[in-house]
Order: sequence, then C-alpha cells, then structure tokens
Amino acid sequence: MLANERLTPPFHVLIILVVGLMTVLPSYYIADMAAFRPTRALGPLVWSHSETTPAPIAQEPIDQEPHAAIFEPPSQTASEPPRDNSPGEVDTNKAAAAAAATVPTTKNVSPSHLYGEEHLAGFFRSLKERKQSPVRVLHYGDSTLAGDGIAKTVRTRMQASFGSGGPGFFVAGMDPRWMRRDDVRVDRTGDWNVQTILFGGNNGRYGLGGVVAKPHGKNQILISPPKPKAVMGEHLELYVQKSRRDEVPAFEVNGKKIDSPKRVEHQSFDQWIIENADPISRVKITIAEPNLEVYGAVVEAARGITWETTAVVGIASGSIRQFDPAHLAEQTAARNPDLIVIMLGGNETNHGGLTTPEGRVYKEGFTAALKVLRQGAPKAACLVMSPLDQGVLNDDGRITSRPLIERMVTYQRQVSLDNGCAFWNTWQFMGGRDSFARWLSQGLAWTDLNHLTEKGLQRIGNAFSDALLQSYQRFEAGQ
Amino acid sequence: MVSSNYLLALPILVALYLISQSQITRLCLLLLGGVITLWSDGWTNFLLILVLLVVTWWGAMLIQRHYPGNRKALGVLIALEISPLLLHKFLKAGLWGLVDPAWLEAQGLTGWLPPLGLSVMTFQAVSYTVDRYRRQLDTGAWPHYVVYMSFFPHLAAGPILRASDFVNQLVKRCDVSSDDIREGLWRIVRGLAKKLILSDVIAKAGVDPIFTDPASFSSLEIQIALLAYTFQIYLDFSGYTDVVIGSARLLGLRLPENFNRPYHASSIAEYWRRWHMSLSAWVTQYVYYPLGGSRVERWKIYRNVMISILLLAVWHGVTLNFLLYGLLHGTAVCVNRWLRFQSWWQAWTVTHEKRIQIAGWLVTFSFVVIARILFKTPTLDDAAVFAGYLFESELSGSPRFSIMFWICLIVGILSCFAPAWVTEATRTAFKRQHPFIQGFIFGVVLLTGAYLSGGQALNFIYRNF
Repeated sequence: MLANERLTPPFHVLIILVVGLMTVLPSYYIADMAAFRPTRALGPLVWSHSETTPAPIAQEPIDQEPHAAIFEPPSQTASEPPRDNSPGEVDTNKAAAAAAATVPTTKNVSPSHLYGEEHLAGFFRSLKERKQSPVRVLHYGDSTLAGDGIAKTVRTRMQASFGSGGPGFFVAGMDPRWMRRDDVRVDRTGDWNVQTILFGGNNGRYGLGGVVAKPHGKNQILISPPKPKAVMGEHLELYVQKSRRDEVPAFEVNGKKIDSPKRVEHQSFDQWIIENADPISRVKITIAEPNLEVYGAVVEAARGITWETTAVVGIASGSIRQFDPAHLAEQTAARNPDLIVIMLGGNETNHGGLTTPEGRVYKEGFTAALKVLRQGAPKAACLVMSPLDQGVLNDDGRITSRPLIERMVTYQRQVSLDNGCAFWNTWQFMGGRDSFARWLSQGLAWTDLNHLTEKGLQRIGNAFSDALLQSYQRFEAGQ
Repeated sequence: MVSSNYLLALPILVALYLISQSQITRLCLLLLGGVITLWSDGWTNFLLILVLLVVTWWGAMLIQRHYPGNRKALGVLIALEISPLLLHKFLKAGLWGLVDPAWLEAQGLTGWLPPLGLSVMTFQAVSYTVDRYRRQLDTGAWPHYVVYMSFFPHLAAGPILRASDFVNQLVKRCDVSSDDIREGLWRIVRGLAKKLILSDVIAKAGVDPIFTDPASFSSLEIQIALLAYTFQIYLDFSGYTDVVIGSARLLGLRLPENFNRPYHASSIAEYWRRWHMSLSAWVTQYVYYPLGGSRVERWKIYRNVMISILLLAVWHGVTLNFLLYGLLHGTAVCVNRWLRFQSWWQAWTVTHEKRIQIAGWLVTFSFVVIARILFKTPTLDDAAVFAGYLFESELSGSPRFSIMFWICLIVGILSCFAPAWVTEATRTAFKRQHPFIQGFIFGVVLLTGAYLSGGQALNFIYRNF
C-alpha cells in the first residue's frame, strides 16, 4: 500500500492545493522571482469577460500647455480583430476589456503631437532642394523599432512622397534576435562573432548601427533585396575596420567582380565605395581577414530618401555609453545624415533617475545620449519619439500604465526641446495614460504589456508619417 | 483552458465534488463548471452554445418520438447543428473571397477564435443525435445530457466523447479513489510540463520566428524548425489532452485517450489511428461507416477514405492549405490501402516484416513532417516560400538556436519516442510520492513554465479549430 493511499481523496487534493500554492507564493513576494509568477504565463486571476464594459479610463493631459492636449475623440472607432492566437486569458481581463474607450486611428493625427517642428527646417529644406544625393535619415531605437514595423511604415510613406533612396545604411551583423529590416536582406556565410551595444565587449567600436560582426575565417556577406531581382540602388559602401594585413575586401555586384573599389580612410575605419553604373540587385562581399570588424554597408540610389533603422533590442539611453563617441562620430560624419530620429525609453521605465528631483539624473543621461548620437552630424536635424505606453497588471486585474512612463515622456520632451530636437509624442498619440490596455483589447498590442503587434506598429508609423508630412507641408507653405 | 483561474478553481471544485455525497449535488457542480467556463467566453457565445444544446436535445427527442427512421428529419437536424460551426469556419476563411476582406475586417468578422466549445459540442451533438436516431442510446435525463455536452475541462479542444460512454459514468455512482487522484494529478502535471515548458519554449525560441520570416534563416535552421514544429504541435495538443483527462480523473470520470504515440506509426493509416483518436473515431463512426466503410466496391473504399480524411483536414479550416493537406493525407492513406490489397505486398510484408516496418516508419514520419508546412502556414504562397527556403536558403552556418530550445526539443523528442516502460516508471514514481512532494512538483512545474515561457503562455494550437 502506498503511503498516500491512506489519505482520503479530498484531503489529498487539499494538500496538493496548499503545497502547490506555497511553492509558487514566494514568486509574488520576492521581487527577483517576478519572472516565475504563474499568473505571468497563465493570465491573471480574474472573473470577467470581454463583454463587460467598465467605465472608460480617465484621460488627463500630461501638462498644461495647449499643444499637449490629448487628441480629440476619434471620428471613427478602430475595430481590428484580435489575432488568431492572441492568448485568451489576458484578453478577458478587466482593463483589456475596456474597449469602450477608443484607440486612435491615423485619421486622428493631430499636429499637436509634434513639438518644436522648427527644428526640422534643415531636414525639410533638404527634402525640398536636394538633387545630388538622397536625403538620409538615421533612426535609433530599441525593440519597438528593431522589428522594423514603425520604420518600415515611415520609410514606405516617405519614399512614396519623395522617391526611394534605397535601404541606405544597414548593419552587417543583422540578425532577427536584435534587429531586422524589411527592405534589405543581409545573409552571412560561415561563423561570425556578432556583438552589440547591449552587452558591449568590443571597446566601443560598434559602427553606426551599434552592431559589429567579425568573421572567424574567410566569410561572405550577401546583400539582396527582399524580392529577387529588385533594385536597391546604384551606390555601394562598406564600413569596415582598417585591415591589419592591408587586405581589400572582395566585392561582387550582380555577379560581376569589382576590381578597384575606392577607399576612403578614416581614423578608426575604412569606407569602401563602389559607384556602380548599373542598378544593384545583388552584392557579395568577401572578408578574408579573420576577426576584422565589419560595421555595415550602404546601398542607396542617387536621389530620394532613405530611412535607416539602426536599432538594437534591449537597449536604453544608457546603452549609448557603450559607443566610443569618437568612433561613432566619425562613422556618423561619413554617413552625413540629414535627420537623426531617436526612440529610446522602452527599457528604462524603472530608471532610478526618473524619481530624482525634476528627473535631473534621467535628463542628464538622456541629454548625454542625444549628444553622443548627434555629435558626428551637428548640422543634421534631430527628432525624438517618445516611448510607447507600457502596461502593468494590477492585483485587481486592471492593466494600467507603468507609473513612471508619463514622467519619462515629459522629461524626454523637455530635453529634446532644450537641445534643439523636435519631439513627437508617441505616448500621447496612443491615448496617454492607461492607453496600452485599449490597444491590447483591440489586438494592437502584445500581452507582454510592452510591445505592439505589427498592426499597432503600423498605426504608429502611419501617424508619425502623417505628422511629419503635415509639418513639411506647413514648412513649404511658410516659405 | 489552462489558465490561473482554471488551476485554482479546479481543486476547489474537485474538493466540493468529493465531499458531496449526493449525485445531484455532484451533477450541479459539473453543470456549474460548464456554465462558468462557457460564460467566461462571453454571453453571446454562451447563448449560441445554449441554442445548440436546446436544439439538439429537442430535435433528437422529436425525431425519436415522432419521426423514427426519418432520414430527412435527421438530415435537417444535423444541418442545423453543424451550421454555426460551418458559418464560423467560412467566415474565418473570409468566405473564400466572396466578400471583400476589408469589409469583413471592418465588421470584426475575421481572425475569430471559435466560440469556446463550439467544435467539440457540434461533434458531440451530431453523435448524440445519430445515436438516439439509431436507438443506440437511452433517452437519459436532461441534466446528464447537459453535463455530457458542457463537461468543462474538454470544451476547448476535446477529446470528443460518446454519449453512451460518458453518461453511463454519470448515471453510475462513481466513487473517486485515491488512485484516481494520483493518476489525475500525474496527467495534469505531465500536461502542464509538456505545454508550458516544452511546447512553448520550442515555439517561442525557434518555430514561430522562423515560420514568420524564413528568409532570415539558413536551410538547416528552417529544417530544424519544421521538425521542431512537428513535436511542438504534438506536445501542445497531447499536453492539453493530459490536463483534460487528468481533470476528469480527479472527478472520477474517465475520458478516452486522444493519442497513442502517433510518431511511432509505420503507415499513414496507422498515424491517423494514433493521432487525435477521438476525432478519427468520430469520423469513422459517423462518416466513413455510413458511406459504406470498407464493405463496398474497391473504388468506393478509396472514395470513402478520401472524403473522411478531407473532412478531418478541412475541419481545421476551410482554406486551400488544409484542403491540400487533406488531399495529401487522403492519397497517402489510399496508397496504403491499395498496397494492402496487393498479394505481392502481403507476401513481402511477411518475408520482410522488420525492414518494411522501419522503411514505413521513415516514410510516414518524413511525410507527416513535410505535410506540416501546409498545416502551419496560412496560405499556399507562404507554404511555397517556406518550402523554397527549406533547401535553398543562401544562409549557412551553424544553427543559432538557444540552449533552452535545444534542451526542450531533445527532451520533447525523447518523450515522444521513449519506450513505454520509461513512461510507466516515471508515472509510478510520481504516484508513489507523498502528496507534499506531488504538490511541490506541481508548483515547480508552474514556476518553471512561467519562467521559461518568458511571458504569456501561447494559446493551445487546437483551440483555434
């Protein structure tokens, strides 16, 4: 007879329930064990369903400036269905069910979300007058940007208006684990050691995009458009460490070997340039020297606009300190962007500096990050996009905004305007405080309570594009 | 189905069920469980299910009393019962392009999860109706019928129950033994481990990213992801089934098994006898046999097989992918049948039994894995793109999967192919433990699952069907 056979079934079940609860209980009381909480995976303990409609969450402006008013109620309610495999448990919680409130559509974009548009004049001038080379935009960010959802939408919209300048700069160490681009494919043969500014380890040399790739042997980088035989541009560049063996990377464009690439020597890297008369649709670059640092490549057209995503999953404004400022500045200067867009903050909602008086420490850190990213191109315009709203699951099952988000957005806006950057309030566009729950309930956000789905990102991208294009129209009209 | 609410409510309901001595109280508790589960899916879906329940009960009774043997009446009732499910399937498929997808999206009519319990209840409703029409089922009391239809643990994705088997257990007074509790708990723990730890990690760390964007991965990575998906879907569905069967066992009820080591099959016909067994049995009973089964001319046997397998496949979704998936599997089963009719093959199987079994397993497993492309990808174009990259990606190099992915995949594969004595030994070892240890293991599985899943657990794959 087994030991547990002596127990009556109800008592057996009771013991298991109690012991099971006691085993999981510490995860709710020890902060470091938060990742182990079963409700994180299995959904909160709530009793409600999606048809319940609690009172809409109150909206309050984050400051008293007239420009900062929360957008007007939309004329049309967005009603996108949740994804097929969206987990049901969180969908049914109270806050997510607050679908009575609405999620903004791009029809509701208000110019009031764009602050300090006068700082974009240089960029708009380039858009209007530039004839000799494409207008270049570098877009830095974290995981919100790394999936290319926002940037892809903006790129498509801007290129539809001003012509495609090709993919522009992209990192050689592209990998879906830290970033991806939808307008260019970068494949690598053989083994590579790839390091990013998230974890560091390469003495500050991460190139323009914060990612460095080092081949273990003679390896190749294959660059191609997402659709076979499409054309990416006519101009090719490679950003690579100076060769210790004085070797020249071997270039093959559209299957043809390039005999004499032009070398532009910089202090900390070499820029190899190939002016190809023919449209480029396929590039093979062979790096023979082991451990040579390859930062990225450029494929662009003669005109139009590029929108170059340079994001790394997981980074915060503090991660920018991983860059060797001189190295980054040199690469930025070589790229010569017209606009630098920065969208950071998604990974620093618990930043200790946010709780210092007036956010002094956070502001200093964010200011330093802006300076490092901009110092290579002091004449380039600058635009900061605020982070998204992020949710937190409360004990009562409601999803509300992370407590310091609002403060961070305010500080970022102040720092941006003080440093000559325009500011687009993504958070405000989403609906401000507690808006994440509404985006979640409409299938526009993920249940990790941090990220948006592809549709959500597209909505942000479209709204941002609208704001930028409207501002450009005002610039044109004012001239 | 496996939510925090469920895992907390289940032991409370079980405890009340065990304490209560009256059969009526127990039935009420089971009914309450069903009502709460269905209501949690929204009152509109609840109403739909209620209508289905009422229509089936009254319809079946009407036919039995007033139209015995009337096939037309039976046909009308079955059409009524399956119409909500059919409508849902066609809406989900965008009505095959008959209606502008943008309009459907604007109405919020795409991307639905089916109402909780709709699939399972539809199958059971047809089964109940036909069994009563054939007089193979006692009329029974309506509470038994409602509990049979709305038995809360199995609403999401089965297993599909036969009324005669289940209602008999309800009618008899089922005493819950200590072994039922230990066995039930073992099945729940095993199911949670399969789902939360193995299946979700395999999905999140390998399968989903690669199926979403195969262009960014090497052929080797894509091949591994395809293989991993084959195991993920088994671990996911069998994990769910374990939880359901375990939950029922805690209440002293025995549900039919849904899997019998499907990847051990050495022919496609055998695979279908081992995979989603309750659905296969339903199709055999209510589609294949009424069409004549295998007691007809040879070409009709192939026709019957094809119709049955196509129905099995298209139930997953009215899309070209599932249609092709069904055609492929149906053809494979027909080829298997054809071989079995050949005398030279019969002679061969006798003389080369072992070799044919090994070759058969290899062919069957490879076929099942490859056909999964159609199962996983949403459109034929996506399937073609994925299949293209399967062997022709320009990327190479060693696979970039995380160590946890490898561990979970290897453990998952081992659990699928482990000899029966290993499974049995693990089960016995768990059941021998003191309840304190069992409760602790249960808690640890939850903690590990929550940690490794890295956030919200994925929905059960079969909840989508």
